[in-house]
Amino acid sequence: MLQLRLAWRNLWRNRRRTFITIAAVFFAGFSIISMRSLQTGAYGSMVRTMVGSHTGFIQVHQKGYWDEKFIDNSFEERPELREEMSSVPGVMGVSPRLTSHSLIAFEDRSRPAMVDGIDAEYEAQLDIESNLIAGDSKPGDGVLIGQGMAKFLNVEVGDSVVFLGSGYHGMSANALLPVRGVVRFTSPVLNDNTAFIDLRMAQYVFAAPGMLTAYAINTDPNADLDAVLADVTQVVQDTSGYEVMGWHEMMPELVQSIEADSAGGILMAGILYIVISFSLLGTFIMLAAERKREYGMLIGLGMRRGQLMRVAFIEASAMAIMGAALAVVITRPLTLYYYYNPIQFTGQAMEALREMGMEPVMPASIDWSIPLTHGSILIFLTLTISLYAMISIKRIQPVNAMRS
Amino acid sequence: MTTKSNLVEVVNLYKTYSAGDLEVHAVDGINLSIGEGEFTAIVGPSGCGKTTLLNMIGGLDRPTSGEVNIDGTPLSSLSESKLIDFRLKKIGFVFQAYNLLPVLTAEENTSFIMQLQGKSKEERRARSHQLLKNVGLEGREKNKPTQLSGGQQQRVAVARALASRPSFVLADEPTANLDSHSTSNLLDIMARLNEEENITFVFATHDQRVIDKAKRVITLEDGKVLSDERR
Ligand SMILES: Nc1ncnc2c1ncn2[C@@H]1O[C@H](COP(=O)(O)OP(=O)(O)OP(=O)(O)O)[C@@H](O)[C@H]1O
Ligand SMILES: [Mg+2]
Repeated sequence: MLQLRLAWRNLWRNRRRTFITIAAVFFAGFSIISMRSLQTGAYGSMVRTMVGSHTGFIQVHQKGYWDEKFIDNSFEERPELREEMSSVPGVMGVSPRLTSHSLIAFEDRSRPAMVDGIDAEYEAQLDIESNLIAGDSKPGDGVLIGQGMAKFLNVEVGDSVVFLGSGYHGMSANALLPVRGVVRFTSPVLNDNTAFIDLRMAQYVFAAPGMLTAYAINTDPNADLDAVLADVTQVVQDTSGYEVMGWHEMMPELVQSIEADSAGGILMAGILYIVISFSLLGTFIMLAAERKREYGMLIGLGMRRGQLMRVAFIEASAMAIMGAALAVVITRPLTLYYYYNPIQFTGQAMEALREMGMEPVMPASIDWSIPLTHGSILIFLTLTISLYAMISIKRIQPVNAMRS
Repeated sequence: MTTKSNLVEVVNLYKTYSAGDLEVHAVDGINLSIGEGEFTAIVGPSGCGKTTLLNMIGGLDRPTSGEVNIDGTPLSSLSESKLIDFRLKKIGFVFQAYNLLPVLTAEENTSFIMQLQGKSKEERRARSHQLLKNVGLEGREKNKPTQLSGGQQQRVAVARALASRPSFVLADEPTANLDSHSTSNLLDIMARLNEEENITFVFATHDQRVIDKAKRVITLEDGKVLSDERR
């Protein structure tokens, strides 16, 4: 086809410009895709540590519990409901929990803590085994505490700690329980301020037999969370008595901080897109000016403007697709590498991230939608800007063009 | 030799440019007709309106008033896009410069116009080889314009102008950028094509050597026909 051949030859005609245009598209794509992959990956890891390691992506409570997290807002255990929710597609596990607060003391030291009653058999979020530092991974008739709390109270496995709290309907909740294990949690809340005891023990200590404060649900990371949430809500049915909440709703501050950070990234990408747009506009202005006489001559000979536009369009597409495809292809091994070998933060950055409750590692996201979205935006942008060349072809008058 | 006397008919043609308050009558009431097989030079001093007249005959430019008929078709009746197709079918052009596409070889420059007309690959190949041979460029088919001299480039342009089998060929100062040797060479080729294949040429020129070869010389002055002599 004539147009294809002309376009191909034209691309080679001013090699340097073709190369620079492709390189500019590639550079923009490469920067934006890398940046967004790292950001998105960091958000994913942040959510996994902050949500997935304890709270769970979905929780079911007695209505009103999330606003007032008191043991009085608990509900009666329903094993058949837990079974049903476990079989919802996308649900990986349902952890029954009874959570309350208590003062924990050892010798002359004490500290207020969240006390989590967990059922080791069904627990689907907490990863105790692989973070265990000392002792047993199950609380049994005792308690598991974080490394931070153990250090603060200066206790070791085998020591017994005192619980001073209040239970269901204002009953006093005091106990003396032996430390069965010490666990190193990433999250500072879990590491410093939480104690884990067996669910039955919790129900006994807090005088709330058969009661739960939450079913914490872990979901398949690849599942559509909204769909799972809808299905779980469907299963729970009686929404007048229960509330079914996704992590977005439970942790609006986390959502906000991610959105705020992400907006910064999108702004950066936007600025890069604007810069690249001007550079592309320059290319097409030069291209159109350089070929004005030639276009005039061709239209004079009897070539239709549409045919010339098609040539210019093929050229622009080739450069856009080349640049965008290169960016997509070359960022791929890079994001894969940083997905499997996350960036490790050390020193101050590590401390800062730890304090915020995040793991000091930053894996890249390997979600295809990032390179594909930005690749498409680049192609679309290039083609839109190439309209300049089309419009100038549309306007060419052969006599004037050849006279100039 | 049979001739159609009315291949090109120019009727009461005017083209007025207004530059500021000043009106330039580039073509100021021209009537003429050109028949098949003619070898016509349009001459006159610089600024007398040769290019303007030729552009209107070729359908590259629209007159202020008056009409150009080609093969009986009034050009004013054609829309912009119809006019482009009409040029492709009916008229061969040789411009003063920038005739060729720098990215195409001599052969491709000659044949692409046939490609626009939808001719088959075999026909294009055979005809462009024949035409390049006719203008003395056998063996240079694969050369790009930058590998050809100015005279050779103009010869490719003549070959291309003929490729579409037009009714006639318009050439605006085809020799203006050529040395005397290339000029006489190009003229010989055009004269021979006119003699042997009865191809109609209309060219604008100042060049005395071109004028000497012409069979008909139309002299313009200030946009008017001063004289029209046949030899
Ligand atoms: N686009 C235009 N705008 C204004 N005036 C024009 C325009 N084109 C041509 N003219 C004027 O029209 C007149 C005729 O110009 P034209 O180019 O036809 O002359 P020419 O005989 O071809 O001259 P030359 O031998 O130098 O090529 C000149 O006075 C020129 O200045
Ligand atoms: Mg002129």
